[in-house]
Amino acid sequence: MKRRFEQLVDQHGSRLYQLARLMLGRDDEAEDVAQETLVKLWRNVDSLDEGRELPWLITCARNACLDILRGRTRTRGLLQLVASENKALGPANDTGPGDEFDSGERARELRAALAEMPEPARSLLILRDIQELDVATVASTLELSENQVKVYTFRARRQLRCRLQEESDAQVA
Amino acid sequence: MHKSPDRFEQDLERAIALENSRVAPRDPGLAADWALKRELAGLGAEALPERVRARARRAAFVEQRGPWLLGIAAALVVAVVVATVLQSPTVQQPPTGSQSVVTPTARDLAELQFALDTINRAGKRAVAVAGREVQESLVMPDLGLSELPYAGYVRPYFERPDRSG
Repeated sequence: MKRRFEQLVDQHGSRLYQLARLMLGRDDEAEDVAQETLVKLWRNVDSLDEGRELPWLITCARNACLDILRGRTRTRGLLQLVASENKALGPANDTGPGDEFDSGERARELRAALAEMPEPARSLLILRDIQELDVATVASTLELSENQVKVYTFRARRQLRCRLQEESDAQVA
Repeated sequence: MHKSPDRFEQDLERAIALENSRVAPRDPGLAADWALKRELAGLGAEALPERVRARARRAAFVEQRGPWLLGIAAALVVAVVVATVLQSPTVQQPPTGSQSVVTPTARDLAELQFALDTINRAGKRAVAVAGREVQESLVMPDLGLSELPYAGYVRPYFERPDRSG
């Protein structure tokens, strides 16, 4: 049990943490979500079917993130705070391990725009484009058909591109 | 995201074309999508912080060992309580009602009477001795009758044994 748990943490722990960080835009909350998900994995590792662990783990982490995001929207002040923190997220302001993750201004813009995307577009872009998970796994995780995953990801990417373009235009103006 | 079926099919074709394309498509829109897709992929992976892994391990360990630890702690408490009770001194039972009644014997009564008589005699003797000793020290008060007006009339009255008249 412990061995399988450690193997799964080695295989998917980083992916879970990245998913949470990109969805939430905060290191501390992402760490909490990752920890909570791993503890759930420990509780259920015996009952998980072989090969079904990753969708299960992503679902747990994503649901935890969505709970946090829903809590944010209930408090307007907190939402504004998070938005400002998302914009501030970067190498100069981040003292956590994400320093290595940040590679420049463009990456910061991408993550900030991504964090403001609606669901499931945000999750699709993270899972498909950033983490490059296969269509079947993403479809299983988000309870969509494979064609829906392809089309919705395509549309989400276009939506993100429009947002980035609008921000760029606003800065120029 | 639910558009018309035609639009869905059209987007599906574009999405598939984009996924299979290893170079930037000629269509400007698709080329921009392709570039953004590569940019997102370039964000790379993030390593799970070791502290998160350690915290998860600890939490899982505590959760697994929790019932055992609780059982051991409860057993220890019970053992301490039992040992304390067993080592405590025996509590004296209070006397029963029949044992609380004292029945003096004739000897007890004789001793009691002797003690009371002794106290009585000694008391009377102490009063007599004390009176005799104090009597010698007593000084009769001087009433100062000579200083009073008409003392010659008053003195006979006070010196007369019978003052009634």
